[in-house]
Amino acid sequence: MVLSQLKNQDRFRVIKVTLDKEIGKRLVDMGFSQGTEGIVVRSALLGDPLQINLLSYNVSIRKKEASGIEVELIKEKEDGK
Amino acid sequence: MENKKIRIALAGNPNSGKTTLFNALTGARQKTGNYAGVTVEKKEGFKKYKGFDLIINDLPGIYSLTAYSLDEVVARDFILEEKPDVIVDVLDSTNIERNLFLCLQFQELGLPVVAALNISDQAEARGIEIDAEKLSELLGIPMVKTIGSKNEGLEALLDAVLETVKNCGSFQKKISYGYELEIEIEKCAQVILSDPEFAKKYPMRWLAIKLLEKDSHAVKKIEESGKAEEIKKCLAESISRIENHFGRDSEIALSEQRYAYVHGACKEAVQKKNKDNIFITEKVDKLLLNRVLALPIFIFILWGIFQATFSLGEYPMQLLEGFFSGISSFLLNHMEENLLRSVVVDGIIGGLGGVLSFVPLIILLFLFISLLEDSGYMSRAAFIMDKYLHYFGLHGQSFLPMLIGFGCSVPAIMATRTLKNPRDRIITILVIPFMTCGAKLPVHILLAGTFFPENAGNMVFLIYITGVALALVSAKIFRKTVLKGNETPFVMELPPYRVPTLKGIFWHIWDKTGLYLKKAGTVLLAASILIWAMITFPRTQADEKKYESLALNYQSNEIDREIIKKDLLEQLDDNFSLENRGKDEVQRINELKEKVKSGTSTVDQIIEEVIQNKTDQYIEVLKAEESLSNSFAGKIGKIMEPFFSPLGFDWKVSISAITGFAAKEVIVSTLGVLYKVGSEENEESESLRTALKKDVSFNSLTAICLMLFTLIIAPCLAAMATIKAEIGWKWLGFYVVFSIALSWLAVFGVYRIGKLLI
Repeated sequence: MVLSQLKNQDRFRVIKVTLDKEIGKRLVDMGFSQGTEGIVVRSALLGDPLQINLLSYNVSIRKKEASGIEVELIKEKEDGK
Repeated sequence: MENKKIRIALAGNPNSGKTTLFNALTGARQKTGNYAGVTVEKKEGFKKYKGFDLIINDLPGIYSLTAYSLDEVVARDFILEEKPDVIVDVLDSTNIERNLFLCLQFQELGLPVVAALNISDQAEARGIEIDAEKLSELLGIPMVKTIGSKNEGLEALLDAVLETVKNCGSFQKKISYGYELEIEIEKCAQVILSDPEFAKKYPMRWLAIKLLEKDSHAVKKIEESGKAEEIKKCLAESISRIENHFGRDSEIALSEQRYAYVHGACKEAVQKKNKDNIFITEKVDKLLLNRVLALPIFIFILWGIFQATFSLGEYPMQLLEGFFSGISSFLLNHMEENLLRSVVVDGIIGGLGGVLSFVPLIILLFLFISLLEDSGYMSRAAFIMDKYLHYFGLHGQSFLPMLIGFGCSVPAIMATRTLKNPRDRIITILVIPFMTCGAKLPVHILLAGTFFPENAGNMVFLIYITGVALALVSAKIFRKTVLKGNETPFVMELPPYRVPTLKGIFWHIWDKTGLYLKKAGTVLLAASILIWAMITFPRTQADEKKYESLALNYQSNEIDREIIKKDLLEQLDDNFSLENRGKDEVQRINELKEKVKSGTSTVDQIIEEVIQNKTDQYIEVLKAEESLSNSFAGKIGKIMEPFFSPLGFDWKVSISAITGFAAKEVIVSTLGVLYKVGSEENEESESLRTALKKDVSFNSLTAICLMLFTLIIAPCLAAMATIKAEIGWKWLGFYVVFSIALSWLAVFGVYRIGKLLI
């Protein structure tokens, strides 16, 4: 599955960035490297862009880029929190 | 004896507290400039330490050493070309992995690196324990814990720098990319080495790695080698082997290996005890980025900044204006009437005074902007606005500069420096002038107030809205035409909130205001004198006889002695109410009463004086108008008539529009001169309004057309000079042609349609 399919508060682990050219590398450089874990913190009003927390910092990316990041879900949203 | 010099490059991630550390190290001993040819700011600071002269260069904050952004290229070229004695990499200890990722790339450049584990207090508060000694041993880089905002650890850092310089690289280690990649790096390095001349120019291992990362700047450098073909062949083979093995692009494979190396080191030397999962930043974000509240809060903050800037700025601005008009009147009274006085008073003080009066506004605006920026809210604003602006081909971070444009385009254009992608910057700069600036407001108030007295407010508001709409639509058009290409992705860090430091804010304002003042002293001074000369030359000798007969004519036809007498007697009457009258008016009436009482003048004498004054004023304006119409500006106005007449503008309106290039509010004073009501006119002046209304060729349609024209046409010289400084002559040229074409077409359209309706 890809990062853009996740819901707020979902935890994920990066499998692979499939975007090419500079943006793909940029995302890896910003921490979206294989095995890195993160959380989808929230999205802006219209659902885009997303706020992602990984490597203990926050980064904002658009859904378009998020759809080029293959991830696996680690844990479902914790209920009531 | 002269001290030994050590050149230090201060580098690091954005938001790592690098600038705070820089300010703490160098204090006031710094200078700001630009890197050659680009608008990336270059800061240099100096410090004496233990008998050494330290020259510290503050490099732009970056995430990686690729060719992704201008900042990265600048930082990299600086290190490769200037070869500093040591690189001090400032790391945000709360985010150690991503910061180490960059640190290792500095190490790869082959220069000694010292790392400052900055913000270490916050890391400890969050339960992140970094074993600096261990990490330093693992990575081969001396590490010193610092807290820039509290001046802690600075001496230890500088000691480590001295130590490293003394040992000169003996402590170097290199990152291992793992067996498969190391083989390919070695192969590429060997091919590069086969051309020894070329290999000497760059750190070899670094170049090999960059080539495998398909770095566009590095690939260009191959051409410098005599063995370019061989290098390229070897490279292509290596890349395809890497991509087969890792199942991903080689540039990504290398980055991931680098991260794997960092993760490995951190596993050993960094312990994370999650004391408290929700940090202050997330608590604040829960409110400020709340799905529903984010937008209203954002709008409220902007509104507050605008209110504060313009209401707080009002008073010092008036003081400055008063100061400059004080100098003017002092010179008018104490200098002989000659060209020198004219150029000083009308040209230099008139032009520069107007520009310098904006300084308080600029200081305040940048105060608030740097508060937003340093606190970390700015990137949240971009996060909130990105979706909406993205639709029009703009970027989340375009929003704030555009908003500042309502105040003044000059600081707004300078504020686009926060946009990292040149294309986004250019588009934003090109649409900023559509935001109705403070100087255009007097023009709109005059025209709307005169021709739409019932709906003046609505008309002005309509103009503002039109400006915003034009800005958005033009942005979309630029994105689809001249500035098309890959859409810029939006990958932006949302840094933790921090309390801005006084020092940081001070330097921020100092830099920006300094730039503005420098511009005022050079470009704008020249421009003011040029416009003055165009209005003043060639000088014509007034035909005194003609004016004498005109004066007589005026006195017998235009002046009604009876009305003046009636007014005067009314004013002299003791029952005449002095309420609601200006201070000057009251004083004048009291003086008149005094004169009559004491018998120094009779009522008839006063009447004669009044008539003489009125005539003198009338003749003065006539002379001003004649000399203006004979001046270069006047001639240009007449030459430009074919251009302006399809828009319904006669030569007077044309000259006004042209002088508007100096500054938009000049349009009002030029109209004043041209409509024979003296040059001391302002937007509230009743007589200019009456004069405009009387002119049959000037009607409400002309007013709408002139307002629209003022809105769209290229902004004042100050703004154009700023555009040139930021994005160069080419884009300034494009912009000027575009704005002239658009304003002409728009006004032509409105004028023709209006004609049909009237």
